[in-house]
Amino acid sequence: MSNPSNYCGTNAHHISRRAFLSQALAVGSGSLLGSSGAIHALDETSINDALRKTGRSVILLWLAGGSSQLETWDPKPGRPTGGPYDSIPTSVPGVHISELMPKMAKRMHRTAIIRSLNTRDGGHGTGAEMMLRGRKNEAALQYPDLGSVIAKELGRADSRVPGYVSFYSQTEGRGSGKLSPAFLGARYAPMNLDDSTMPPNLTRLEAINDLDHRDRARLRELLSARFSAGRETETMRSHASAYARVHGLMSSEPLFDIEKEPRWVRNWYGPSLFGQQALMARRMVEAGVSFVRVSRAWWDSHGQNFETHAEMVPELDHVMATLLDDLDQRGLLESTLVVAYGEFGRTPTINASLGRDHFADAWSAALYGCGIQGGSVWGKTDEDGRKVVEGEVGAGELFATILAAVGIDPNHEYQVGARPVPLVNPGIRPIRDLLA
Amino acid sequence: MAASFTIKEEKKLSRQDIHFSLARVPGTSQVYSGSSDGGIYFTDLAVEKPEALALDGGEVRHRPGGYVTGLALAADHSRLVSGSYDKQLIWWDMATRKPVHAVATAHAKWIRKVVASPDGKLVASVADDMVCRLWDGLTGKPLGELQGHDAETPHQYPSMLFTCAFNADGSRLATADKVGRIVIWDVAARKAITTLDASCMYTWDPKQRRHSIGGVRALAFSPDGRQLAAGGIGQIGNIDHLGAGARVRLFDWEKGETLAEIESSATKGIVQRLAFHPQGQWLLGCGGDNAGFAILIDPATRKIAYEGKAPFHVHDFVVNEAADRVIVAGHNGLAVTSIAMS
Amino acid sequence: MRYLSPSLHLTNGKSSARGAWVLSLAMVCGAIASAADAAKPWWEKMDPATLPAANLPMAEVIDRCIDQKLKQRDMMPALTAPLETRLRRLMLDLHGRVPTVGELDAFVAEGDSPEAWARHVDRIMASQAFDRHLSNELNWLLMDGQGTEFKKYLDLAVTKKKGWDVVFRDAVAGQVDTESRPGVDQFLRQRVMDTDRMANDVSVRFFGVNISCAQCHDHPYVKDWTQDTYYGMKSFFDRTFDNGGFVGEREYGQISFKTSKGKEKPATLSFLGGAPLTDPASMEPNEEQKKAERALLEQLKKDKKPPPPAQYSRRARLIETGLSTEQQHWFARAIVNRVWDRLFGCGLVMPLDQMHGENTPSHPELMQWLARDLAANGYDLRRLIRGIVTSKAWQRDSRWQSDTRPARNLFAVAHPRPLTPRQQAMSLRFAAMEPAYLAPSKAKPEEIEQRILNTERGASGYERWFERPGEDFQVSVDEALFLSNSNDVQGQLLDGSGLVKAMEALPEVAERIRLAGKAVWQRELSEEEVSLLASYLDARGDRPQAGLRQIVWAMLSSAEFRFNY
Repeated sequence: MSNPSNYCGTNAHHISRRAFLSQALAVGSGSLLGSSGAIHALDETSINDALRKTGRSVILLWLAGGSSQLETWDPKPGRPTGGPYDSIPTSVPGVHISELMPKMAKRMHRTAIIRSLNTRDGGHGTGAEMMLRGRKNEAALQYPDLGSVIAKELGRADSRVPGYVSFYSQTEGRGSGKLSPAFLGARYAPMNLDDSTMPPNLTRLEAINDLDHRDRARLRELLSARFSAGRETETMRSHASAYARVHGLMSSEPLFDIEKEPRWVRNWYGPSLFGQQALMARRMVEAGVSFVRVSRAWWDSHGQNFETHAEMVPELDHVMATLLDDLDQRGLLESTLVVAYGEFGRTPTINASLGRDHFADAWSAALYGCGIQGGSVWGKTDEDGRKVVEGEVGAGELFATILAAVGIDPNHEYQVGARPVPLVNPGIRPIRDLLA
Repeated sequence: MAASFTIKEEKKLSRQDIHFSLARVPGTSQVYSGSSDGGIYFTDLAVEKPEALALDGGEVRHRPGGYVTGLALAADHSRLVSGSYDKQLIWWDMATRKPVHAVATAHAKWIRKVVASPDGKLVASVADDMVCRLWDGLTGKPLGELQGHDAETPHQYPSMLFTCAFNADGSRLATADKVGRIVIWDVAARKAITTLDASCMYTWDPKQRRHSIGGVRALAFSPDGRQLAAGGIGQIGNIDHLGAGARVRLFDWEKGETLAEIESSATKGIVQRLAFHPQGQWLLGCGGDNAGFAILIDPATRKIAYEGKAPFHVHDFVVNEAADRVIVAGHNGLAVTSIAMS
Repeated sequence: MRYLSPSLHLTNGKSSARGAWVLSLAMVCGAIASAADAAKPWWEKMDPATLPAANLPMAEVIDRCIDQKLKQRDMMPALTAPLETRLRRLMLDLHGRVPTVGELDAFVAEGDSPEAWARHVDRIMASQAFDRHLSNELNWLLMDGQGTEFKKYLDLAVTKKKGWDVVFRDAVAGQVDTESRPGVDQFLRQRVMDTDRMANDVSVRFFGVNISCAQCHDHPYVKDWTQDTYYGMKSFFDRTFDNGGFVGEREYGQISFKTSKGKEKPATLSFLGGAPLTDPASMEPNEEQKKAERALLEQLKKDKKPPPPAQYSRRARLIETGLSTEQQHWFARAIVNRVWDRLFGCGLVMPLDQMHGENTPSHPELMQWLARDLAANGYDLRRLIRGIVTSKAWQRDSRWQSDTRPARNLFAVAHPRPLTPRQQAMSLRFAAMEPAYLAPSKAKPEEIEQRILNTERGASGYERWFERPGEDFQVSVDEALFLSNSNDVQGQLLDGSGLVKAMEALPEVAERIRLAGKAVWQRELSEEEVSLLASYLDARGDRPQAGLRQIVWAMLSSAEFRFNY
C-alpha cells in the first residue's frame, strides 16, 4: 500500500488507494466551469520524466513595480529621454548597459538580454498576471504561473523539498499577478515566504512520537477522503495536498536556515534583504527546489526615478553578479536558469517629479544560465527608447524561451477536461537566438 | 512684515529640457542656466521674446545628458563655474564665454550643487561622493576639502550630498545630505562647527517598498547669519511619489535648536531652493512634485504667509536686487515671476 | 475559434455545464450580445414588470428564480442537507463557529420543519453573537479586518441595527461622534495619504466596481470605463486631506490628469461614468482666506482637533449621488452580491468587483428583486440574510452524485466553503472545549452567554495562522504545518482539560468516540466510523490519552472540519 506522505499522484497509487477505501472517490471539480475545468492531479502523466532526473531549476528575480529599462539594460545616454545616467561598455563588444550595472557589464558574455518586449499592458495587476503566466487569464480558463509549470515539469515526485518557493517580503504589490497553479492543482502551489524566510512549525513536538505523528496523519487523510466523496472541490484538494507534504517539508527544515551558510558567503551576497534571499534561492536550487521566485519590490518610481534607481539598480547588479558567480563556482550554472524582469518597464518621458511612469511598449528582460547563449542581445528600440524597431516580442515569447532553455517543449499540451491547453499560445515561439 | 503677498508669473520660456541651476548677471534679467542636456544656456529674460542660447565651449563641455546642477558666478562675476553629473567643474570666462579651466574629475560622483562665496573668491561644490570641495573662484585651484557626511545611508545604500550655502559674509558654509544631516563649517579653518538634524526629510520605507526618498535639498542662512533654513519634504507614506507636504525647518544653528518645523498641508512636493529676503522680510521656497509651487514664510511668525503655484516644478531660482522679482528654472522652462507685498 | 460548441449558452462569459466550454478571446470580457443591445448595461435591458411581486416572501422568490433556471437545464438540485449539517452551516455563517454539543442537541430536539427552522434562524439572529460576527464580517468588507476604532463604530452600528446606507454615509462623511459614531473616521484616515486608493476602495466596497484599471488608460476591456470615469470618481475624494492625523476636506480644487497620449486633461466630477456633475458657484478662496485657513489648520493640528467639515463637501455629494433614486441601484446590488457570495460561496455576479454593465448576473431577475427589496426596506442586512438562509436553495446538501459538479452559479448544490480564519479559530476552540462548560442545561443563560463570549475571545490568537479565503483559494502548507506541529494546538487546544478530559471520563470506548463526533463534527458517527477510530485507539492501549488526543486531532484537521458544507 502506498505511503500517503509520498503520494505522487500517479495512476498506480490512485488504484490502490481506492481499493483501501472501500468506496469510490468521486471525481469532480466544483469549479465555476462545471465541466471538468480542472486537471485532476490523479490523472495527469508528466510531460517529460527524463527531464526530472537532470535536476534543472529556475530562479526568477521578480522586479515588482516595473524597473526602468533605461536605467538597466537599454540605456540611451545623451538623449532627452535618456536621463542623467551614462552607459558603459560591457564584456561584449558593441553592447552597452547602464553605468549602474558595472558588475553585470563584466559578465555580459554570459548573459542574454531582450530589449524588445512590447507587452502593451501598463497595469500592475494585469501586467503581472500576464508576465507571470506568459499570457493573460481568460474568462473561462485560468492559466498556471511559470513557477507552477516549472515545478510540475522539472520537479521530482518523491522530492523531500518543496517544488516551488516564493519570497515576497515587501508588502507593496504582493497580491499582483497572484501566483496560482490553476488547473495543475495545489500540489504545485508555491510555498510563500513573505513575512519570514523560515517556514514556521517544521519540527515535531516532543510531546508526540514519530510513529504517532505519522499514523495520526494517515488517519486524518483517510477521514478526509471519506468526507470528500461527492463533494470534491479544488480547495478541498489543496487541503489534502497541503497535509500530504507535511512530512517531506519537515525533513527539509535545514534548507531554510541561512545561518548554515558560512559567514563569508552571506557577506559576499551583501547586507540587502534581496541579496540574502538570492542566497537562499541558490541554496534551494542546490537542494533540488525546481523554482524559486525572489521578489524585489517596489520599482514604481513615478517620482524621483533616478534616486530610486541609484539605490535599487546597483543592488540588483551586485545580486545578479554574485548569484551568477556562486552558481558557476558550484557547478550549478549549467542546470540553473536565472531570469530577471518585472511587470513592465518605465516611460522614456521624464515627468516633472523626475520620475518615470508605467511603460510596456518597449522594455527589457535579462537571462543567464541553463540553455542560454551568453552575450546575445535580442531586439532593438529606437534612439529614444519609445518603441521597438526590431524583434518585437511579448510575454508569450519570453515564457517560451524560458521553457525551451530548461528543455521543456513549449508546444506540449496539457489536457484540461476536453480541451487541450498548450504551454504557450499557438504561434508563439521561443527566441532561438538566445538559446545555446 | 506685510500682511499679504501675490506671486505672479510675468513671462515664461518653454523648453523641452529641464533646467536645474541658475546664475544671474547682477542688475539684469540675464541668466545662465544649466540643463538636463548637459548644456549651459544664456537667456535675456528682459527682451520680449527671450531665447536660450547655448554656450559653446568647443571640446570642453559637460557630457550630453549629464545634468548641469551647479552654476555660480565668481571672481567679481568674471567667471561662471558650472558643475554637472558628469563630475566635471568648468570655469567659463564671462568676457568671452569660453572655458578657461576645467577639472575633469572634480568629484568621484554626481556634482549636485555649486555656490560662490559672497565675495566671489571661493567656490564650493558638493557631490554624491559626500565631499564638499573648495576652489579658487578665479583660477579653479583646489583649496580644500570638507568631509562630514557618511557615504552610506543608515540602511546601507549610497547616500547623496544635495546642497550647500554660504552665509552673508562667507565665513560659514552649510552642507546637507539625503539622510537629513546638516553640517555647518568654519570656512577659513576648514573645520566643522556643528551638526544639525533634519532627518524628518528623509523617508526610509522598510516594509512596503524598501527604498528611500527625500533629503534636504535646500539651505539658506538668514541675513544676520544666525538662522539656517533647510528645505525638503515631509515623511512620505507612498514613496513612489513626492507625496507629502513641502517642508522647511528653521534652526538657530549656533544653539543647535529647531525654531520651527513648517509643513504645508495644501502644497505637496519637495522644496528645491530657499532664499531669504536680503533684509529678512520673507523666506521664499520653491520646488514641486508633478506641478510647481512657491511658498513664502514669514520669518517673524515662522508660518507660511503665502503658498501658490509656480509655472512648473522649480529646481532653482534667483532673486533680483530689489527682491521683488524672481527668475525660476525647472521642468521644461524658465520664467520670471514677481513678488508683490502689501 | 475551433473549439466553440454549437450548443453554446453564455452567461457571464462562462459556459454552462455538460462539458461545453468556451475559448473566449482574451479581449472579450462579458456576454456576446447583438450589436444594438451591446451598448446598454444589462439592467437597462430588463423590464421591471417581469420581476416577481414585491410582496412575496424573499425565500420564495429566491427558490423560484433558482429552480426556474435549473428546470430550463433539466437539472435536479441536490436534496436538502441533513438537519445537523444545516445547523452547523447556520451557526458558522451567523455566529462564526460550529454549534456546541449542547446547542446541537437542543436544536435537533425541536425537530425538522420549516417553522422550526425559522425559529432557529430568528433565535440565532437575535443573539449578541450574531451582532459580533456580522460586525467582524463588515470589518473585513470595509477594512480588510484591520479596523480598530472603526470596528467600535461597526459594533455600535450593528447593535443599533443601522441600515447599510447609514453605514455608507457615516464612513464616507467621517464625522466622529463619541456617542453614535466612535472611530468612524478611521475608514477615511487609513486611506487619506493616497486618494487614488480611497476612491477605488469606496468604489469596490460600496459599489462593486473596480475602476483602477482605468487610471492610466481607458479600461482595456470595459468600454464604459474610461480615464474620465476614473478621475470623475476620484474627484469626489481629491479635496480630502490629512491634518495632523485628522481628515479634512477643502472646498476648492480641481484635479487634472495625463491621458495615455500625454495630453493634460481636467477631471470632471461624475459618478461611475454618469453625467458630469457641477459644483455650486466657484469656491476658490482668495489669499486672505487661504491664509486664515492655513492658520486655523495649524492651530487645530496643535490642539489635536479635527478640521471642521466642509460647507460644500464633495464627499457629501458622493453620498447624495450614490444613494439617489437614479443611482442607488449600484449601491444596493453591490451589497446584495456580497452577502449572497458570503452565504453561498459564489456571487450572483462574479468577480465581486466587476459589477459593471457588461457583466450580467447569473439570475438577473433575482438580483434586481433583491436589490429592490433591500432599498425598499431601509437597506436592512438582517432582512436580507434571513431571507437567504430560510430559502430551500441555501439549505441544499453539498454532495453531488455524478462526476461533474454543476456550475456554482446555478446553486443546485451547496458549495463547500473553506472557513474564514475567524470561523476556523473559533470552531477549533469551541470544538475542543469541555462540552459541559457550554451546555445550556448547566448554568443560567447569562452565564452561558458570558462563557461563549470568553471562548470567542480565547480564539483570537489562532486566527493569524489561517488565510482569508479568496477566489480559487488554495490551502497553504503553512496551515498544515501549524496544525501538525504547533504547541498552540498540541499543548493548548488538545491538552487534557477540555474535550479530551470529557472523553476520558466516559467508561466505553464507543461512547468516547461518539462524543468526539458530536463535539468536533456536530453529528452522529456511523458504525463504520466508530469502528475505524476504535481500532486506532486500540493500537494505543498503552497510552490511551495520547490516543484520544490523536483522534480528536485527526478530526479537527480533517476536511470535514475545515469546510463549511
